[in-house]
Amino acid sequence: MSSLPLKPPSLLWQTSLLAQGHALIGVLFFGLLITSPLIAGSWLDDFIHTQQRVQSNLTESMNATVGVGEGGSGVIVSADGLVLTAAHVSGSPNRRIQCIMPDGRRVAARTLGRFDHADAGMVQLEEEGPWPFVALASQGSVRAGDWCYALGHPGGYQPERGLVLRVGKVIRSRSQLIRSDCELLRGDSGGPLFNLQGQVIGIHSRIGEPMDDNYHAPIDAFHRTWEALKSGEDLQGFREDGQQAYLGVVVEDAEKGFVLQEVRSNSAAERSGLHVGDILLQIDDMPMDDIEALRWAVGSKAPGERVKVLYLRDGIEHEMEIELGPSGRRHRRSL
Amino acid sequence: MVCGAQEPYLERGDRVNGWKTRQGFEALYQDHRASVVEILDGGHQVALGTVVSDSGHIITKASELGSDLEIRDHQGQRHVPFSIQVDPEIDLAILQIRSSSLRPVRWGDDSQVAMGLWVMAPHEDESQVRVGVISTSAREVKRKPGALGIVFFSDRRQRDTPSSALGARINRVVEGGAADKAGIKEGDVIVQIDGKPVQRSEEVIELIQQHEAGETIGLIIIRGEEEMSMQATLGFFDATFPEQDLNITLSGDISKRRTGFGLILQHDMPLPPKAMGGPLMQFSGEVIGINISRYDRVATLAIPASRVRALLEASP
Repeated sequence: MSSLPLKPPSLLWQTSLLAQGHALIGVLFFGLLITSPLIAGSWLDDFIHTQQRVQSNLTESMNATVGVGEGGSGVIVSADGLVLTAAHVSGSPNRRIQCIMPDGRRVAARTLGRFDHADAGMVQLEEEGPWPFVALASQGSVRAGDWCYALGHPGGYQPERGLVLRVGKVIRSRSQLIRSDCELLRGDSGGPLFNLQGQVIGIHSRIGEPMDDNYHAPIDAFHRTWEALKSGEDLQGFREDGQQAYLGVVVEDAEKGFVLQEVRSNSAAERSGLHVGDILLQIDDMPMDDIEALRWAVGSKAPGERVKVLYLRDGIEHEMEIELGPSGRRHRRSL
Repeated sequence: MVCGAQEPYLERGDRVNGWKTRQGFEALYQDHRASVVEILDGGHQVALGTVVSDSGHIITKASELGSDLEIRDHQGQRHVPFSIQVDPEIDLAILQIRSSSLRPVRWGDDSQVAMGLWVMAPHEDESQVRVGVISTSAREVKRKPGALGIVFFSDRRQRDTPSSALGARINRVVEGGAADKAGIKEGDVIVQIDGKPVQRSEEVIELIQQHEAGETIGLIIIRGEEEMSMQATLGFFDATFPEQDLNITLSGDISKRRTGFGLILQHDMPLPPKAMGGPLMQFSGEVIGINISRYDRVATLAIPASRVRALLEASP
């Protein structure tokens, strides 16, 4: 107990608990205050506040969380029955599948578009609504360290068990990936990750072996591809016909974005006037916060397509359109 | 490439069960250490135990216990239990030792336990603690049948085996499974189980599935020209065939007996199988259950306090 960053409780702490609407939990903790008079502190407030927020949102979150297809999960995000799920759960567009409501009822549905690269998929319930639904977090709102909670059907839908809740924190938030310590398992795929406002911030995608290796497709990936997914497009990520566009740069991580280490001769980058030392910030409004984002922004385009590039030169932001070129000589870190 | 050097990243210590976050819980838990003990079998820890009386009664997970039991208390002292009672139905054992330094837990009310409630529990080492939430409503978890640890290939391949007319030929024996321990070998043909003649693999499977882990069955097998009589004590299905459930392979260590405890509480604390038998506590220190099964990556199961207390009141 010697090295604890804890402060003794005060009347202020107790009243702040109650004043913030923590009446029930406040009562619960009076016993604790009496038996352990030295223990209190902001960390405990933080946990109590988190529990209260999770529990107050939980019914609404659970009502909108569904089983999708053969052993996946999903979440309803509109009154007319639009469901977000993982691309590897929804599969190819325009297939007939079933969704399982929290009460076990099976509802016919149709798969819409998918965005393989981020593992984002959409499904439309075919029965008329209104359906219970949850809101989406706005773009760019997820931060490492945020509390979050996960719902889903790990191991597949089990009527006698129902949805399984996990509470954790966002470990990393990138444009193509969110990592959290909410433990996931097969069957959770496609299920929602929520912030403490009960808004969807991610869709469960995959796991690694360590318990805090849990990955979610970020809601930003849905925001960016929303109309395409809704209209049933199959965004495969990298072009499979080999006709992948080429920018012609070699990059290295900068504090924000990527700094150009090399500009290839006769490439789209050289023709457009990009220099070594320029820092790529955004392509088509997508922040260049990891190499996957850059690979996707360029690699999903065909030669001749135009992208909008925001870059930093001598501390000043510039924007221009670049017509991408044909695939050049393959280089491990050139695009 | 200085990958992600400036990228916002939640350090290990700051995660929900990171060391910095845990300091707070370890402080909350300090007061309850005298209510938790380590259960050793042959000198190695197999479970935790929860102190439930002033007179040295300790409750733990029965199916982890062997025959060379010792109890190590929070002060490091070892005691040999002089009495052991087991309730196989809910997999709990009540041990008794002579010790005055232990303090019984304070029971809480599990009837009001709701999804999202914070809970804490001792980790493998009785001085460490983890935190998590109640993650489903209370429910029953049905018991899985026991496993003999033999594999039959598909019928098509079975028909290719000329001697299968006699009985069911075993295509594979799982290493360390019940059949292996009983001396059954690949290629043996099972002709009788518990006095009932069998011919096809489906009949064998049906008869075995009527038994639970720990039960002993009698078999008659034919090996070459010889007819042999054998006894096999069935093992736990998931421990025998971990590859049957893909989720188990991604879950790290799980309990041997995972199912069949009647009503349970489920939470999301990442606890090892050796932490079973320990108390499931609210932050207030009130005990709302006894951890009984590390089920998979996302779930640990606990027997509700009310059920445990009913068992204690019923035992002499």
